Amino acid sequence: MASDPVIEVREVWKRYGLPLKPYLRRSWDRLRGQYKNDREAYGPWVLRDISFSVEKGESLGIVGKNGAGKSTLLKLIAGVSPATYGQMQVNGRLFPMIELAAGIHRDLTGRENIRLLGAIMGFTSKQMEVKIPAVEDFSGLGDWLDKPVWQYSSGMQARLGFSVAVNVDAEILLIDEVLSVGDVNFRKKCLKRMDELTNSGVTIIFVTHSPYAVERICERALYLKDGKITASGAPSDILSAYFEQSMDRSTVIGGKRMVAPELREGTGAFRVTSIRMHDVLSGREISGFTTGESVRFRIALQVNEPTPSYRFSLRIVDAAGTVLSFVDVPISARRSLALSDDSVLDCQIDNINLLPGQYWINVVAREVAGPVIDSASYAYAFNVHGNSQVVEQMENRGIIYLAAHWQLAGDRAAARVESS
Amino acid sequence: MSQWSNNNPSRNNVQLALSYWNLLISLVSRDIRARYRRTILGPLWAVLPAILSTAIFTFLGGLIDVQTEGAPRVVFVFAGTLPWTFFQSSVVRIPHGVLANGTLLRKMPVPRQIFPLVVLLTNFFDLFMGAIVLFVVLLLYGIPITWAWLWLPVLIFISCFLGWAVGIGISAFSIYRRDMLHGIQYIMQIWLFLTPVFYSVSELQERMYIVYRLNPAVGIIDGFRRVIIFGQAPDLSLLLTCLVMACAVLIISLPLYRFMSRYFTDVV
Repeated sequence: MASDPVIEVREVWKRYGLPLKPYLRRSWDRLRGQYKNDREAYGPWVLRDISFSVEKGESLGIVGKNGAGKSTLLKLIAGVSPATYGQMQVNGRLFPMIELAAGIHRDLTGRENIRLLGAIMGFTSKQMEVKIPAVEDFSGLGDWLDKPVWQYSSGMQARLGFSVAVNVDAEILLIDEVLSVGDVNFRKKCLKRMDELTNSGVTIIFVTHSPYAVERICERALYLKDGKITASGAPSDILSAYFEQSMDRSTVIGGKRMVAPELREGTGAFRVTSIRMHDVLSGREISGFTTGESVRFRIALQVNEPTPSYRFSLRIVDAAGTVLSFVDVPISARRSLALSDDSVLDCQIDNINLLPGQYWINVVAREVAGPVIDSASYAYAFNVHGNSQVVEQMENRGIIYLAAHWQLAGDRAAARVESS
Repeated sequence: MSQWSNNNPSRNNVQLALSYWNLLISLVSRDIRARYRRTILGPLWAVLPAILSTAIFTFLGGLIDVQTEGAPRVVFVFAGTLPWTFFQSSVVRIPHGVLANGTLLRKMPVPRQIFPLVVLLTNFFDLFMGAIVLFVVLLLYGIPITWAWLWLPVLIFISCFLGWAVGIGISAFSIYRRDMLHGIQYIMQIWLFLTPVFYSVSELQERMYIVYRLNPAVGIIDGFRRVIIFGQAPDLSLLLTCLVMACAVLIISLPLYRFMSRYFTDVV
């Protein structure tokens, strides 16, 4: 029976709201002699023609932008919302964690809530009595368990919910964004526990914005876009597709995307007017480079007032705004810019070992021990390409390129590596 | 068919029923504990509404000299307000109870039929507390407990049945739009005045015969009073009216509630 799918979703369509209104609209159109297909004419559809199945012990990740229908899909599987069309079959005990505080009552203590969640899962109090120590232990909440939940932080509430979820012998876990809360240690514990669970045959469906968690936990992933499955397969492939499509398309690579100077913060003694990137050797303007290459950033400034001593800094950031690197330079008042000067600041950065992907530059100029003069985030976008060693596919697999040298130990293996 | 029974660890119907019962009890005990947890007077609030309205109606009734069929006024009024409060809070709290569990309903496949039942059972706590006060009052006025009291379970059951039928109807509508949540207390107030809670049933019978015949709550309140104060059997024809009306309501409200609660996640 191991080959039987635990979850089978067949041609599921979902439209929110009562079915009455679309029905009336459709009947009215019919009266007027217009026969339209419900699935085409009477939206909005949150999910369109979703079909997939999940085997026992599999872990499936679902990625997609906000509003793509991920959470709706989980709700349908959990059985809290009916599908408009299509069939849904779930074989096994399922624990949905669609939001953190699922089923938790704020006025009760943590311990009372554990019992209640058990009852909601269908355990009798006797059956639950056996499980409670494990739940309490896993939560690590200690004395907090005797305090009412309204005093908990959101992280603690999530711990409580998660501890019940992973300890009540559910055969299917539906997890939605819960791992994004809680401290690092608890998150690690959760990931480890989820590994254990999948190894012991528990099926996991995991919806998240944290793409790396999908890669870490899931064997397979679906990419949902506007309610449709646009891709399914290995997590790394799906993640590339996800990044590619969710990338801000308005971003002009190598172009200006700077906020207008008057809207930026800072004293405005001078303003950055443009940033350009040039190849160090040829001096030509470029919009991207290969991992490990050196480039020169040329920053044009418009000076409005005499400027005191300041520090000028460049930050390389990723789409999420994480600062990947930081370079800065002190500029003394003596060397500083003269009024009405349209000056240019050059910054050459050698051997930028970024993996292929899209990155941005933030610029900040700040008076020494004083206020910000000018600051522009995502002021410049550039691409990093791969080369023979750094394949293009490594995009979004990480950030930093490290030169690695591999060797297999053992005589025969070493011989094979050499001979190849 | 529901995901909840699918989720259930039990493998036969007896175990399933048992875990349903366990869930019911857990939710009831949650509601009773949570309801009074952040109050000063605590469980006293279970009985205060009945006591307060008794005080008001006793005062008013004395003022305009409503006749009480020879019973002491406080006992007469309390024997009416206690079952009325019980019935009324079923009707009013069922929609609130269903909506208050929205967060649960939206995330967990809990059987939707359970929440009205939770409210009904929770109200028994209030009734029990009220009964203690009633005993004290009866003792003070020297009114004996008779064999007629055996009718009480029947009356309580009928009152639950009616409260449930009306309550789930209002819940079904409240899931769609909240108007009823705002309006219900006024409807209940009118209903209260059309029911012999602080006046005697004979007055209703004389002045508004149609209401006397058709208002399903008349039989319950009058029945309680006859049993408790006068040691008589309730008027069975009135109770029959009540049952028929409740069934009539249920024919509409139950399918409506079943349908609407399925779409709870979609519209709340």
